[in-house]
Amino acid sequence: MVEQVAQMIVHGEAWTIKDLFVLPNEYVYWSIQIVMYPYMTGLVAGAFVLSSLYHVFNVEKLKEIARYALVFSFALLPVAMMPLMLHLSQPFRGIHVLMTPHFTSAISAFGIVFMTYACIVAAEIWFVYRKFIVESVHRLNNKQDRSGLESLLLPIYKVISLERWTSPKKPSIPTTRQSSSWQRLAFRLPASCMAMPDLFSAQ
Amino acid sequence: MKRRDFLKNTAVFVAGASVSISALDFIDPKELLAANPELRWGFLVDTHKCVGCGFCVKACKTENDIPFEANVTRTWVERYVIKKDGDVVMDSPKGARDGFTTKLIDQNASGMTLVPEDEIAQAFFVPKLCNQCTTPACVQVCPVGATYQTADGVVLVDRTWCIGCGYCIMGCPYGVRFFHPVEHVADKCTFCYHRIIKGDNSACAQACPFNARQIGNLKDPNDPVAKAVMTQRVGVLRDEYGTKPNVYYIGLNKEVR
Repeated sequence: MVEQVAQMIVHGEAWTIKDLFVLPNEYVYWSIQIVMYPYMTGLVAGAFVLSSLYHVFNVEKLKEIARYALVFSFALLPVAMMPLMLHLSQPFRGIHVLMTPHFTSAISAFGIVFMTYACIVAAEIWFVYRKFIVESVHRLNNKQDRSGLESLLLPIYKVISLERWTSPKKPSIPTTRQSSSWQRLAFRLPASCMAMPDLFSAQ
Repeated sequence: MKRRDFLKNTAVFVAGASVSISALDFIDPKELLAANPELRWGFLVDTHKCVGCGFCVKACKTENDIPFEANVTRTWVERYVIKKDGDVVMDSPKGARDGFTTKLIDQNASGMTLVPEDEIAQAFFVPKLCNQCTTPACVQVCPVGATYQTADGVVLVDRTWCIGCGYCIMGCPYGVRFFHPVEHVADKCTFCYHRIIKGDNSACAQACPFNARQIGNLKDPNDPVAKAVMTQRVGVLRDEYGTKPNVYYIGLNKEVR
């Protein structure tokens, strides 16, 4: 019985107003969730613009909210994908879009744009918070009795600082000369965007 | 690293990489599998012969396990009634699964209408199925490549890979795609690919008592379908969409959408 009922219910039948449609297969499959997605994406992009106004365009009024807006933007990125994923009739297969992208499809192409955007926001968060991360490593390294949480945080900070910490006992700020060449390049990249000739001649 | 060294190393790397990459020959799997330039499936519908019995729809639903009661179907028959004042009334109750047994025309939410016989200028049936387009819109928009075109021209859906986004259903200009109520993935007419590759007829063509439906190889000049397409006055549906459909209709009216 249940099986028979399930076989009669067509996806979209519940909300399709069958007035203009008289043919079979004519159902509206894209509904409210497709509308929610651009709304959420609007919040993501808006928060990013807000933080950029301070970090890039130096709007001092937004200093207090700039960092928060950046993290907010990053945190909302996966949430913006949720309505899109839930609208799929096979939600667990949503990851296939990244596994076998088909670039003539707008959905797939936008998946690439979306991931690129995520990388940009993640990178900007790292640059903005790097000062805090390095300072935290020094502060926790110098602390004699670290609590459990602090002992947990210290290696995390060390990893996400993307820096080589020579000795945990003797904290020292590694200069660029001590660090390896790829790290040097990574740190030079943002600087090189602003002063390109500097990249090669500074050695 | 000096700028000179950097540029030199880059040039050496790019030159070396391009030589080795050009040695790789990427083989298209389609070239190996089922590549037969002598085969291109096509379909011929003679609307003069169709009486709207719905045997094709019934056969299709049975053959391809499409739930019988659900209002989705891989093939269906449309009834057109063109009035003398130019109005077009059309319907396809349950895809004409049970045939057209009444003169009442099902207008869905607007109820049933009856066109008086003295007002009718033309009345005819048009069977519909997937056009297996040469440039299919559904294949273009699938974000995961779960729907694809075989080398012999049939567009298929991989049920194990389809994510059910509905993009192909929205993209198809002919409305032949739908969500399978049980499998929960996009589904469409396959020309009964599992039968035709073995030399069988498609279920709908086999079930048609009047030979209104025929499937054939468009690249074989001796094939009856290819002959009819070449020698008779045939039309295709929605040519303006640029999908290059491969279902040809004899006796196609401009009113048919």
